[in-house]
Amino acid sequence: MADNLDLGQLGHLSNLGLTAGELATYQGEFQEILKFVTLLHAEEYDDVSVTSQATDLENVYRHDTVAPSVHARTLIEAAAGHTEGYYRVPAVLRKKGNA
Amino acid sequence: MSVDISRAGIVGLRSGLVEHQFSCREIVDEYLEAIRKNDGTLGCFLHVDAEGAKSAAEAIDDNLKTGNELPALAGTVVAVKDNIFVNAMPSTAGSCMLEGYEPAFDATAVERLKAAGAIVIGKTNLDEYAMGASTEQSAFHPTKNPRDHARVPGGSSGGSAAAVAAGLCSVALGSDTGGSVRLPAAYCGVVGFRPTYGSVSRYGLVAMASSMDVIGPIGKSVEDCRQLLAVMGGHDPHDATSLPDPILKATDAERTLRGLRVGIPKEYFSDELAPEVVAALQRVQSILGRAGATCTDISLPSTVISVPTYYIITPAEVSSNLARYDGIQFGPIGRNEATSTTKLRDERFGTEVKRRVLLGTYVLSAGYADRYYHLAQRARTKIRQDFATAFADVDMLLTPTSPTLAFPFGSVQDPVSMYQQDVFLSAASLAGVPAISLPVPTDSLPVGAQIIGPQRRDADVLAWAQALETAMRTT
Repeated sequence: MADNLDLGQLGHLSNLGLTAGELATYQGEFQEILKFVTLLHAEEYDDVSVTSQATDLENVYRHDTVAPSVHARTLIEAAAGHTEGYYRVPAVLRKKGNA
Repeated sequence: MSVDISRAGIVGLRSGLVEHQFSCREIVDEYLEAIRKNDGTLGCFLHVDAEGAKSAAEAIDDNLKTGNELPALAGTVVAVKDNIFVNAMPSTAGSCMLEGYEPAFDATAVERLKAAGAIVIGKTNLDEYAMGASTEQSAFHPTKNPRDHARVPGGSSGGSAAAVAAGLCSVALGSDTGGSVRLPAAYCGVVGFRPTYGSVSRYGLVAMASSMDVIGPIGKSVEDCRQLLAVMGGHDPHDATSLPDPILKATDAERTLRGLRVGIPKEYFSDELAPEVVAALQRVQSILGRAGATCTDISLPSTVISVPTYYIITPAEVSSNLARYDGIQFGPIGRNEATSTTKLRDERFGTEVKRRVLLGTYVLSAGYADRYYHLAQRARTKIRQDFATAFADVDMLLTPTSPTLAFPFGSVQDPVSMYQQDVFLSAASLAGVPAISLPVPTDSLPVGAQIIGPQRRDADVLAWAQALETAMRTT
């Protein structure tokens, strides 16, 4: 089960930089949580289909028509960072040598 | 007969306005005064919009003076859970991640309530991102149970339920993913309704587990919940999962309890129930019997796997939904470019949020998805089948809302014990069926009785609940 659980790697995959203290806390809790959810394994699931959502709606479409909406400028100004009518976000790509 | 504002429901407040017993401004002033006196202790609100509420009330009063007919919710003062957007009010979802964020639009549910004359008085406290059963996980402060300040109000919509119970608003909105409307309603002694999944638009609701999230009303009576649902429900093109037809119709009839077939699921009545809960549910069964309903023992065999299923599917959806808080799409990093995404998320997310993100990442990861997530999706089918089988023989199910009374702050520490607070609530959420928690009159702390009905039969569930509410008040 979770004996070899690498919470550091899981934190990396989750975009969480966990501290050593958090890793220690979560490690113990995870064993208990996974033991609990493994109660599922006691049941038989042969020929049981999956449920992704409960109302069985499918192929939901709407007409592609223009309708009044919130003004773009209002939405941009609500963002944490904006400049000259654009969103302002941290640089993702950096110049070579500045990484 | 004069109307007591603090006790009046939606219909009473509107009729009081029409009959000029009081003005809308007086209604708002009374609630603002109640908030001023009590919320410093209770901590129901994260934001109060006193000026906006006064201004909206004066507009209603002006409308009344001109002789125009008042809209259906005139005089209704609503508190809105802080994970539901209200234009130009802070919306934090109880998290530091969204601190200071003000959406530029109303959630569809809020937009419809405002259009019907309701006044939003403020935003209420919750467990961070609606993940919790006690409101202790709010990033800002806990909310106290108005009936006993040493105890939790339940969660995650604890601020909304406590605000209604304490008379700080007429009604409130909560959100229910795995019981977050019903549990706090039960602990605070008010009515909380989880409608059929998709009957109220999720547009403007901060996503937690999208396949189960529903906005639900909390009120002092079933009638108040019905009135709110009638206005805010119905299809919304902004939400592809919203149902095509209105969930309530003008032709919906009142119901009596005579001839009603009530199923009592044996799995919900274990030896672990608090004695006060046992006594209250026995009383409800007795009242139902005297009113001409037939109570029959039934079985929902998949009940034992409902909480484990919920705590696989929900974290999986949480880990996906909360990936957007990366400081680029959402989050406060735009103010400080030196902060990395991982550092930001570690600093701004609380313990339970991080726990669920990690768990969700785990159950979705290669090598484990079949063992956990895909298996839970099959378990969800079995849970739905249980309800379908039960509703072939009975009209509704009666269960306790919670096995216990509201518990003292800090008394439930480990995550699995906290998750098990949802033991009677998760199955209805996974099946997408309507369920309501009704307060049972008792000398103890509040006890909730839960009525569960078939999918899209919300009108019937509300009508049966209203009939039971009346019977409990007169017996």
